[in-house]
Amino acid sequence: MQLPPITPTEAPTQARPFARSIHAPRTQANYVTFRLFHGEEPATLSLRDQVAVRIAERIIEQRWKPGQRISEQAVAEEFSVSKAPVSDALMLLEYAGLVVSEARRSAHVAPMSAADFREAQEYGEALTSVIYPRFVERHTAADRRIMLEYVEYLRELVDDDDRAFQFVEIADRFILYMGVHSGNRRVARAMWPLSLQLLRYFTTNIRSRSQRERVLQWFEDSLPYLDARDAKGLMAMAARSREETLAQVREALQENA
Amino acid sequence: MNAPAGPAAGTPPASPPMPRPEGVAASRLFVGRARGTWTLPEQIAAEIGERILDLAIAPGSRVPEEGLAREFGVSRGPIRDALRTLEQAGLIRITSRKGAVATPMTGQDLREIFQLRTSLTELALLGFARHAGTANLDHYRLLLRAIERHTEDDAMAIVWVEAIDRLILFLAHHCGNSRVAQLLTALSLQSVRYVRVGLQEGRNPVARRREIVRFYQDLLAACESGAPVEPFIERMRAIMGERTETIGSALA
Repeated sequence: MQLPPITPTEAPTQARPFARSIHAPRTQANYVTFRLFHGEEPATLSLRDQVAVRIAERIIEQRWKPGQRISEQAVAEEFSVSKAPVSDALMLLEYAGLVVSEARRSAHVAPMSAADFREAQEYGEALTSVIYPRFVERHTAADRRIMLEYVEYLRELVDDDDRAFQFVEIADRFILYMGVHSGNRRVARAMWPLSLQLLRYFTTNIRSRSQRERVLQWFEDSLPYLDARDAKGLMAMAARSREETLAQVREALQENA
Repeated sequence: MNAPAGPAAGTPPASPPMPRPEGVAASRLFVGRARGTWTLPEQIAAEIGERILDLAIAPGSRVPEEGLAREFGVSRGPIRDALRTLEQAGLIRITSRKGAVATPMTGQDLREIFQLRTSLTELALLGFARHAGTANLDHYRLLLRAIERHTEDDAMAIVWVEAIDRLILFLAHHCGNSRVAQLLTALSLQSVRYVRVGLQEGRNPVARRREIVRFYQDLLAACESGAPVEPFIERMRAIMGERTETIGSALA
């Protein structure tokens, strides 16, 4: 006679397809995981990877302050793991540009400054100057539908102060989506860590609704350029918003200081 | 019209291998760090990296952990760390099924690398010109002389091209943007095998080499005199585009 199992059996967890979260803006996924692992969203994470994700969240959300020292010992104790996965996790975060360490000794949260932001922004422009023309040229009707989903979702989020971070995160995913579909895997690979670094700055930069509205406007305005396959227009528009964003970040950093 | 005369009786003696520069992998993996500061896994990474660039480990072929551990007389731990460094640098891929494999070479890969390099080199040139101080220009001259020494000599092509790449990376590391420098360094390492394909017979004539040297001479002059460097961007893009085509057709 067949008896019921002790507890309901779980459906086997499936490995998620590549970069699932960026293909479905409404996916409730951990925003760090797919960025930290270059689009991969494994069903299970190794100890090192779990530790890395949790530390990254604290750094990006600025619960750990820029420049703050990170004690491997303390992290290991808190997560009840040995020091090895913590040290490996910090190395991973160093590659991602969230942690700096001197001669592999003491690790610190990467500092933040207007100059660093400007540098990241300039670097991002070099990447998007590869991405935009190719995405604009290659994008399909399916891409266009997803872009519209993004814009609609941003429209829903824009008024909600409590979901301001989510708004920024979704806006950033929109750019990652273009990167992944630009036909240049290397540029996409370079985008993931940059995205993590920029999100940390954008958390300082999202307080006002009017700022979010301008971002939404930007994304709404980008759609006609896509339809017209006008990469130059899109890039010119991106360049126009650059100084404004820099000024906002600079102001926010000064307030925080 | 007469057909060109073939070689006389017998085959010509095999030409000796071209002189190769030393430490090509290490110079990118550990920019600005003296040899004495490399850890054991880093030294191993430098050696394996060099073999990949020299095609002693062929593109797409396995990099066996166990064999390397035996060869270097170390446990598998340092080998694994070395392989992780090389994976991060883009010279190998590690998969759970096949283990470590030297990154294959493809036309698609070539175009991706050169697209990105072109875009970042633009920032490097503009940034360098903005930040160039006397000390930087002195080092520029030093690097340029190393290039000029080998321009005319076909047999020195690998050394010549490496000298060019070092100059580009020098500009990148002094352009005021560390992210640009870091990615260009990684891309430079990933380009080495492709660039060498472009040196095959007839694909890198001396006239072309002179033209490139002139580009860097003119750029130096512009940096010295404070002339605008924007006109150099178009020239750089043309050079990079031509190279991508040449290498692409050699790969096909």
